[in-house]
Amino acid sequence: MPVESRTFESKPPPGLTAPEPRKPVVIVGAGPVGLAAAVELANFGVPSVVLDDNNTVSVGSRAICWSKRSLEIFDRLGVGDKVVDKGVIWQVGRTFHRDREIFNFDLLPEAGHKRPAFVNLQQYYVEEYLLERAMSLDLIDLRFLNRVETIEFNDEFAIADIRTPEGSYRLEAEYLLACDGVRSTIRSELGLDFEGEVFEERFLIADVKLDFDFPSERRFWFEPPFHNGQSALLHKQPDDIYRIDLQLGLDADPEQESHPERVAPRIEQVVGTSRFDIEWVSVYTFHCRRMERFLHGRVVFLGDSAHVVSPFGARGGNGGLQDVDNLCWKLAAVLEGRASAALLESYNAERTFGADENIAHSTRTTKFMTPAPGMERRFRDRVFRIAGKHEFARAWVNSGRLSTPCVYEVPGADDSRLPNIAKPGSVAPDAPQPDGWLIDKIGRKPVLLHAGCSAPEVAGLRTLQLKLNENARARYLRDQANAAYLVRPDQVIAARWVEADADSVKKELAAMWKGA
Amino acid sequence: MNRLISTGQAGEFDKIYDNLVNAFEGLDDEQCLDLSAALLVALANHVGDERVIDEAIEIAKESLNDPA
Repeated sequence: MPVESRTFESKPPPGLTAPEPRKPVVIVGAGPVGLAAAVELANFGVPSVVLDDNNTVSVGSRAICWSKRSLEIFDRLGVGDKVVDKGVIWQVGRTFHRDREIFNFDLLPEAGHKRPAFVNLQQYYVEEYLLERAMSLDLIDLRFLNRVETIEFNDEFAIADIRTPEGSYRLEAEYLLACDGVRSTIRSELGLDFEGEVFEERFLIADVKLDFDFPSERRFWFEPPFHNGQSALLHKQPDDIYRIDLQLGLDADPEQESHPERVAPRIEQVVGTSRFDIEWVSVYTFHCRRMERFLHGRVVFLGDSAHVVSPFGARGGNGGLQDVDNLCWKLAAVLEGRASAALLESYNAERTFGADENIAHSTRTTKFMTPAPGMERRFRDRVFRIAGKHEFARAWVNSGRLSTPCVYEVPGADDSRLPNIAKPGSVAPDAPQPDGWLIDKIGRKPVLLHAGCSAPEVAGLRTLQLKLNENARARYLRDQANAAYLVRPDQVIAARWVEADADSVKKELAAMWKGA
Repeated sequence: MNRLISTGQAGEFDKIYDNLVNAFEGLDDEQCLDLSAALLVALANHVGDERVIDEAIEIAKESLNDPA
């Protein structure tokens, strides 16, 4: 596979010959989360050094389902079109129990959004696009084969000792972002760990190339006859590659289960043919846990280094991008001196809240998939039996609740006469505008979005008039004639009014920069 | 006249499902049956509509005969 075998090069770090000046931001890990953070910080004018112990993109498809919100974030990072053009858009999901289809759903694209609900694309493509984007930006200093060995921090900066093939050196950073994944070196170096209930399950994950066309749908099987009663999931990816996730049970031996002679017959039963090539196989043990705090002095944790979930809601990669979205504007404001370091506490509060929501969903899905014997099992069997004939029970079948951005608990002004979909704490809903999409016009600077009335003038705050149409009205006005929304740089609504006045807008804007 | 609600909202009830399942944790078979009966009394009182409850009984009974 050309993308996966491509290696990236970087110049020897200057720190090998002379001490380097302290960096505003050092990012550890050049996966989707670390690269997205580097590009987003560059969007805000903040330079960063990105360290990765590797020089290739990831092997295997890994995170494949990118949500609408992630696509909007990719747009801001300059890779949205590439991801959507290459990716597979899917909207039909079929759920099977044993040998029969119990129901299917159609994520009919809701009119009036720039981006679809989901796009499937292998993580290595996403990493490649983000790497190309990062390499084109002067503010980003990418350093491959740079491995962080030790890390410490004081009140003012973090210090990383780094090993390269040419020797070792040291970097100081005002902030260090740990984006180094589930086995984070930074986390273990600081003596930190995941907290909470461990919920483990083991899966075999395979990328398979088929030479015939399978429909582009998500298929999920509970207790399929072809897999000893365990769960199975099938997703279509670009390049005729299909992703198969097979539940193995915790007592399975990962080594043994990934042998091709064991994998091939299983896949043959899923796809119904032996005409396939196995591109990648991995045995994956997941648990649903998070760190107690994502912010430790000068070190910030994002993505899998901070929280892990099961793969059935597409909440790993998408959750990590939401961390990036939430953190970068705050970090830029702190580095710029516009906000105090207290603003970063709101990253910790909001993203631990988001992680808890993802973990709760993910844990419930896992429990539904692996019910304990007794009543738990009986509940699930009844749901299946009723769901075959009655629609209401289908909603209780939980094969993964797909990632949507969480609604933060923000203290900003609210007016409940306005639509629930746009309440403070939500991502501002997209809507078509005569000359483009609202989500693009909101951009990444705070803005007062106003509809049906003129906007009060507030220093340092852009205004944007919402052009009214059916979608815009439903999402922002309901039956009100006018409204104003204060939108944060991460496109989250901070406060809203039916009748806005300059003083209250000013007050909410000040609170937004304080994170309170 | 009311009918049994025939549609469900995907994902909205996951927490309720979880709470229901957890209520039975650690109980023996007899206790499970007793808890089920007690729960039904409480919920039927809340619903308070004979026709709705009859419909639910029919659906539940039908599920016992499902060969799958």
